[in-house]
This record gives sequence, structure tokens and C-alpha cells, in this order.
Amino acid sequence: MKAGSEPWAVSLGPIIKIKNLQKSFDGIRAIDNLDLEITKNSITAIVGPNGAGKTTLFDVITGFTESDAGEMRINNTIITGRKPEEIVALGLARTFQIPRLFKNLSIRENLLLAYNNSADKLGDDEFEEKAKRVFEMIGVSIDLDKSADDLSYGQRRIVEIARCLMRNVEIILMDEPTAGLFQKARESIKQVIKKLKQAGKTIVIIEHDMEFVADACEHVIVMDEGKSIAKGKPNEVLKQKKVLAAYIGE
Amino acid sequence: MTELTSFIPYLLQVLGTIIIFSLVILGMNLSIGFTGMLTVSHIAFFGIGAYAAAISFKLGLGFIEAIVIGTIVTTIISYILARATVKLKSDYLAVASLTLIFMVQIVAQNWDLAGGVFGIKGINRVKLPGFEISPITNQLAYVALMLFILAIVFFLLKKLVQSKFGLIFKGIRDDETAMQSLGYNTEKFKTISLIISSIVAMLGGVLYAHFITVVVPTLITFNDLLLVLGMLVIGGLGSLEGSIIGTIIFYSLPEALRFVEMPEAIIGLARYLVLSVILLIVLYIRPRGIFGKVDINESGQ
Amino acid sequence: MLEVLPQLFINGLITGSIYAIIATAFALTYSVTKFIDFAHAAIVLVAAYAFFSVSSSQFPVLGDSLFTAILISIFTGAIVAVLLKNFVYRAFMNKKASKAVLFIVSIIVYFIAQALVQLAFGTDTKTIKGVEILPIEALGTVFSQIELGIIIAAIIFAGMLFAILKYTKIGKEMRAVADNYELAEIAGINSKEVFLKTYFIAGLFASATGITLGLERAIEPAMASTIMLRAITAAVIGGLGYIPGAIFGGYFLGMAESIMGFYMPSGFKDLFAFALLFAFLIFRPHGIFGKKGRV
Repeated sequence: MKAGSEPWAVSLGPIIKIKNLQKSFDGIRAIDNLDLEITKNSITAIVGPNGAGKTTLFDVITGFTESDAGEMRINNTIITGRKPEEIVALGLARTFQIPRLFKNLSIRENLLLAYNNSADKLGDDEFEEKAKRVFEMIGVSIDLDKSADDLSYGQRRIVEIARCLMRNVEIILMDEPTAGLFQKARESIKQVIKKLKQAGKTIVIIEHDMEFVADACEHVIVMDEGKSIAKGKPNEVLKQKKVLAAYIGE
Repeated sequence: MTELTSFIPYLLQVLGTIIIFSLVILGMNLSIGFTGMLTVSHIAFFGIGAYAAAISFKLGLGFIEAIVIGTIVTTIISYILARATVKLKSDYLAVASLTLIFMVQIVAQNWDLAGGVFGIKGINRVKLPGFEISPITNQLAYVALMLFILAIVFFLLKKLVQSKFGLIFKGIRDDETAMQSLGYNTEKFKTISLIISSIVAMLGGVLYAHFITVVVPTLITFNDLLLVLGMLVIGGLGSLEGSIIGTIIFYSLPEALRFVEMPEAIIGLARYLVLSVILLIVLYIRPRGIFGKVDINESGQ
Repeated sequence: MLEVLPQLFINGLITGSIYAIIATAFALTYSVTKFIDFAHAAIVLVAAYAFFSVSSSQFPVLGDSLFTAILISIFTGAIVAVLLKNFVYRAFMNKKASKAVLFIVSIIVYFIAQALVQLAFGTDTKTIKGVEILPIEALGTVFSQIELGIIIAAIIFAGMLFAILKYTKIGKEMRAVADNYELAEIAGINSKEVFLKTYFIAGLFASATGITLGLERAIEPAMASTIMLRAITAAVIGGLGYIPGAIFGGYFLGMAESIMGFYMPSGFKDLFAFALLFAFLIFRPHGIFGKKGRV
């Protein structure tokens, strides 16, 4: 069994725990004394006006940006100050605001790069099977030999998500997954998120589409100016005055 | 008939030079075209290889020993270069690699063992286990050896870029951030790529020393940058075959100009100017080169 | 041995001044365009050779006055810099060329300049004739009035640049573009114009370097490439793109070279400059004044 997946470890607190997180850029506080907890196997949305610090939060959690102060833990393991590749190896996957595919490679090669670096992958022969299963789960059929450059925006997003799933991960961070997508693609992503939860994963998404959030997510955390200003169930949180004020003020 | 017999040595000379350049360009392509690291250090490692061979010869060592010494020195220096720059923006590697060219030249000029300003001459025997080749009297045999070495290196590089390792290099080239998000230690792989590619370029230098039989500090100059960049860009990034073909084309162009009537002093400079302008045009119109898989605009981010 | 120190100090000041000027030109364009522009070396060459031609020309007004020669050369260089930016770099920037390509283009431009200069003037070393060297003795050191002029020129240039950056409209625009290009555009700044003006100023500095090198040392086709590397080294030491840092870096390098040159054979002086660059890259890539994480 993979370390960290023993049943007793599972129930020991939130899967992501952040305390007193600080990050400034050139004197501007992007993240201001942030406390945050993500429950295991939940679907949590992080919302807030532009510039609230959401993507910075993802960058700091995944080690792409170094925090100034505070502590972050994944499964009770301290990740503060560690490099992206170390943090990701703990069972984390991430998508970006604009899909980052390897554009001079085929879709297959994009997936291979993720699969080859999976700690508990089954073997080279199992790759095709896994790729097939991942795309079945997403509900999309695509020609793996196509060049990653040759895709529509929606397809890129789907491939980026599929690539994440080629590794066995526990936590998936998605940065604005539905931005710029049409209804059909959005539905696919909604279904993927629900299936991932059924498979025991924890999903955290940054979103602007409130309908999507209300529909797909169990928890919401609202950020504004680097702080967390509200959290709870979508229907309750999104009606709060201060949340609306934060958005209108932007 | 006499024309033919004097034409063959000329042909062998051209072939040998193309083989030597090809090794340097292949090395550059591995770093720049396949891994996306903009560096001009390969010329420096070519010089190091040439001097490693020359000094080994001076000390009575054989061909294989020269390659081993060159490999050790190259690994150490390219490792230092990588450590200094892989964490930083691509600009830093470009600058550091540029200064490396000058540094190698200065060391060569001031080192007694390397013959100082005068260099080392008379490197006219290739001592292999069991037999010897004299590149001057038996040019054909030596060129055959060079071709053999190029073939092996090409074969190994081809295997490398088609392997899982090669895929990682390409991933780093296309999007280093994404590679990190997939859990890859990109710094480590960039270092490995730089070391391997530097060794390939170094081999070109070793072959050069025995081919020209003279090694001087001015053998690598800043000016050679134009030639190698031209060969690399025209052949195309991300294509090993392209590097060989680009070398042939870019090397043949000035050779063709050789047959045009021009005063001696002007001809070198005119070739230079023409090559510069051609390279600028190619960079502007077709940054992908002839066989390139990758736009040079996407490399070195 | 201590008696040598004042002279070493003055020498360092002189060399440092030359380095500081070219480093500033480099840092200025880097801060605005964000790519390593080697073509400043081309401007150095253009100005140096223009200075040589004008000062050794037979025409009365031109050939007689050192001052006119300097003036003409400086502006020639600056204009070439602007033309370069406007036609060559802009063409590539419009094609969304990467920083790597722009760097390569700048090297090619330098090669073209070097070849042209060689074609027109030959490879032999030229010196500026007809300039009287007046030695000045002060505090146990000896230097010439030219060298004093160089130091003063560096101070004046630096002062003027700071004044421009701080108080003029174009200065503020340059700083805005350097800080955040997109934001500056949104604020209504015409970045293309800013680039051109930046190149004009940087061209003035690079030309000045060519002239000082012509007066202080000698003029030959390879003169510019090593000084360019010094400029980049100085800029890295001070923090890439940070102008006060580049000036500091120039003096730091000049001083270090002067002291090292006393203890080491001359060839190793160059090696020292580059080793210093590597040391900074390994241990402090953001330079002495750069902010960590900016890299």
C-alpha cells in the first residue's frame, strides 16, 4: 500500500492545511495571513475577484513560488519551502489557467510524460490501457497521435486534465478549468470531477463560474485581497453580503 | 587524371571538416533544439577537446586516452556551467556560455603545457590500441575513422532522443513549468543534457586536433559562433538529420564562393557578410530551419 | 608596496568609468526590452571608427577640432542604434521573436558591423592622432587629462541619465515599460516610441564608450567584443537591468581588474573578470542589488 493511504492516516485531519500564509510581491500582499483547510475527498471551490490571490495560492502550494511566511501541510507532511517536483510527488496534480501542453509533442507523448513519472505506475504495456480508461472516464474520444498543437482550446483543457490523471494522484488542483469552454465541455468537466470524488480524490478548483460552483462543489472558500473572507456551502456563502461586496468592489 | 588525384585530397579535407563541424552542431542541437537551453558553450568544449587531444599527444598518450581526458574535463566544466545557470532565466546560461569561449582561449594562451600562444604542432599520429594511423600520409584512413565515430555518435544520439530520456528533454523544452508540475526535477535533466551535448562537441575537437595536426589558442574564436549558429539554424532545431544536412549546406556555401573571383582580403569578409545576412533572413522567414521540428522562437524560454 | 595603491585606485577609477558607461547602456536597454543585446558592441565600433575617420580627416573644420569629432561620432552611433532598433529588432519583435532569437540576432548584427569595419578600415590597429597628452600629478598618482575627462564624463553621463529617468516624461515612461510592459501599454504609453528613445540614449552611451576606448586605448575590429562581455558582467554583478547596479558593477570590475592586474600576468586579468561572473552566477545571480527571486 502506498504510504499515506493507510486508513488511520486518512482520518487525521484535513488533507491540505495552511496556517498564517504570507506572500508579497514588491510590497503588495498577494496572500495575507491566510488560514485554510481542505477536507479529504471533498470538492472545494476557491472563488474571489481578480487579484484576490487565488492563482498565487496554487503557485505557493505547489512550490512554484516561495512563501514569505506561514506553514503548509499535505497529509500532515510539511511542504513549506519545498520544490515543485517534491510536492507533486506527494500525490498532487495541477492544471493551469491556460492549459500547458507540450505543443511540439503528440497527445500520446504528453500523456506518456505524466505516466512515466508516476511512482506506482504499472508498466510500459499498461500505458495504452490506462490512457483509454482515462479518456473513457472523461467521456471524450480523441486521436492520441494528434499533435498537441493541433487542438481546440477545449480539447487542450481536456488533454491537460487527462494528463494529470495518468498519474495516480490524491489531490487535483484545477485553475479555472471551465474558462472559455462551451457547455458540452463544461459538462464533461463536471462529470469528471464527480467521478474523481467517487474514486476517493480531493479536488480543489479556482472558479469564476458561480453556477458551476453551486452545481459541482461541496465547499466554497472566498478570497479577497489575499485573505479568506468566507467559507461554507455554496448556497450559503455566495449569498453573503460581504461576498457580493467583494465582487462588486472589484 | 592529375586533376582527379588532387581533387580527392580536397574532397577528403572538406568531408573531414564537415564531420568535425557536424559533431559540434549535433551537440548544440541536443542542448538547444531538444532541451530548449540556449547556450553557445559547445564551441568552447570543441576547443577543450582539441587541446585535450593535443596535450595527450604531447604527453605520449593515445587516442582513446585523449578522449577519456577530454570527457573528464568536459564533464566537470559543463557540470559547473549547468549548476550555475539551470535555476535561472535562460539569459544567464547564454551569457555564461559566451564567456566560457573567451575563458578557454585565455587559459590556452597562458598555459605552458598547452604551448601558450604558439600552441602545439605535429599531432600527426592517431595511436589506437594495436595500430596507428597517420592522418597526413593516410588521410583516407583517418577520415574513415572520423566517419565511423560520427556514425556511432549519431546512432547513440538518435537512440537517446527517441528514448524516455529524450522525451523528458523535449518536455522541458516545450514547457519546463509543466514538467515540474508532473514531478520532474528539470534542473537535473537540463544538467545531464548539457553534459552529454558538451561531450559530443568535445569529440569534434579531438578529431580536429589530429586532422589539422596543429592546435592554437585562436582555433576557437568568438567569430566561429556565426558559422555554427548558421549550421544549426539552417539544418533546423530538433532534428539530428537536419544538423548534418545544415552543416553540409552552410559549409558548402562559402566553399562555393571560393570559386568566385575576388581579392584575397575581401573574400573572407565577403563570405562572412553573406553568411550573416543569410542567417538573419532564415531566422526571420523560417526560424524552423529546413528540417527543424521546433521553432527557434520556442527554444530557450 | 602601499605606494602603488593610489595609482591602482586611479587606474581602477578610469577603467571603471569606461566599463560603467557601457554597462549602463546595456542595463538600460535590458531593463526595457528584456533581452541580452550584444549589438551595443556594434555601436561601440561604429562610433570608434567614425571618431577615427573624422579626427584624421583632411577637411578643415572636421579634422581640427576634437570636440566636433566627438560630437559627430556620438550622434552617428546613436542614430545607428536607433536605425538598428527600428528596422532590425522591430522586424523580429513583430514576428514575436523570442529573447533567444533576439540575442542571436544581436550577435549577428555585431558580426556584420565588425566585418564592415574590417572591410573599410582593415585589421590594423588605429590610434587617434593629434591629441596632446598632458600628464597630471596628484596625490602620488599620474594620469592624463584625457583620463580625467573620462572619469568626469562618466559622472556627467550617469547624472544626466538619472535626471532623465527621474524628472522627464520619457524617463517615467521608460521606467513604466521596464516595470510592467502590459500595464504601461494600457496606461497609454506608446512602447514602440519608448523603445526607440531608449535606444537613442543607450546609443549615446555606447558611442561614448567607443570614443573613450579610442582615446585611452586603440581602435581595432576586435575591440568591442571583450568590452561588451565586461559590460554584461558588470550588469550581472549589479543586478541585471538595474542601472545604478550596472554603474556600481562597472566600477567594481574596473577596480578589481586594476588590483588583480598588479598581482597577476595580464592574460589572467581577463580570466578574472569572467571567473567573477561565474562566481556571481553561482552564488548571487541577482547581483549585489537585485532582489532575490527576480531571477
